[in-house]
Amino acid sequence: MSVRKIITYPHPLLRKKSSDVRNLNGSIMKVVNDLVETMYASPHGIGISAPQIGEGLRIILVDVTRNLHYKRANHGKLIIINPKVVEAQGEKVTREGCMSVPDFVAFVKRPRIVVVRGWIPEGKEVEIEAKNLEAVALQHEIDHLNGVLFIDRITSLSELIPRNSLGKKP
Amino acid sequence: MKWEHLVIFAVGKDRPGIVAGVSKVLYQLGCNIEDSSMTILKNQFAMILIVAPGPETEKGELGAKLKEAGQELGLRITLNEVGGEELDTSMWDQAQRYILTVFGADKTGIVYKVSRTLAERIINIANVKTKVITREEGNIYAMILEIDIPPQVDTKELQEALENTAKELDVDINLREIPTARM
Repeated sequence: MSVRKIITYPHPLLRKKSSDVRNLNGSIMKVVNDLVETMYASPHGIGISAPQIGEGLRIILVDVTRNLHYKRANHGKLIIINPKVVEAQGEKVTREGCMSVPDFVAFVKRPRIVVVRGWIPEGKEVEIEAKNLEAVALQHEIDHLNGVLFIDRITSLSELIPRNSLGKKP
Repeated sequence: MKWEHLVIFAVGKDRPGIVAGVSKVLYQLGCNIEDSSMTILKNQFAMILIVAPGPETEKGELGAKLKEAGQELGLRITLNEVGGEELDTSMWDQAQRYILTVFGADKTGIVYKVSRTLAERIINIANVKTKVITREEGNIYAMILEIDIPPQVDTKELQEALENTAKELDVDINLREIPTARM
C-alpha cells in the first residue's frame, strides 16, 4: 500500500473515460488500497477516484465522516467498483472543491438523493441510497470516471471562487 | 522603469464592444490580463482589471492608447500601478466562508450598518452585491455578501449583533455557513 501522487488539472488522464473492472484480482485490490491510503493522507478529502491517482479504472471511495462539520446520516467508508447512478432526485447546491483542481472551489448543483449500484471489494453487488453530501460526493467521483470535472458543471460565473482569495482552507 | 502590475478601472454607458476595445489595446501592447471583474449596474458597464505589462510595454504609450480607446467607447479609464507584494493572508487561512443575505424595504444605511457590524469584528467581505427591486408597493433592497469569518470570532455573538442590526433597519438578515466538500 502506498500514498500515491494525485494528478492535477490539466493532466489529460482527468479527461479520459475509465474502464470497467472485470475481475477483482490482486492488482485491482492494490489500487483500492492505494486509494484508501491516498485519501486518508489528505486532510479533509471526502472522496477520491482511481483516475485521480493515474489509474483509469472505475473505482471510487467516499467517506463523508471525514468532514468534521457533517453530522447527517451516511454510510461511512464506501468503496464502490463500477459504480453507476441508477436513480436520482431532488436538487442541492454544494460548494465543491477537488484535489485534482486545487486552486478553485465552485457552487455546483446536483441531485440531492441518488441510488448507486456497484460492487464492493468483497465481491458483492450493492445498491446504496445516499443523500445530501454523500450523494454529492458519489456523483462527483463517478463524474471523474467519465472524464467530467466539477468545473464542467458550473452554471453561473459568480459561482467560481478562486480558493486563494481567502487563503488555503475552505 | 519596470512595474509589476497595473490596476485599470473603466466605467461608462454600456454598449457592445467595450471589452473588446479595451482588451485590444492591452493585447497589442503585450499586456496580460490576470484577474478581472466586469459587470453591469443599471446602464453602466464597469471593469476592474489587474494587468501584468509585457517586457516591451511602455507605460506612457499604454496610457495614451487606453485614453484614445476610452474616448471612442465613452469610458472613463484610470490606470494605477500596484505593488506586486502578496497580502498577508495568514489570518484568513482558518477563516470559514459564510453567506449573508439582507432583504427589506429600501432605505439608506443598510450597507453601512451591516458592513459596520462586520468590520467591528474584523470580518472580511470577499464579495458583495446589492440590488434595488422596484415594485409598486415600495422598493425592496437586496444585499448578498460572502464573508470570511476568522476562528476567533464568536459566531453566536455575531448572529445576535446581526439580529439587532436587522431590527434597527427592519430588514431580514440571514447568516449561514457555506461548507466546502473537498473531493
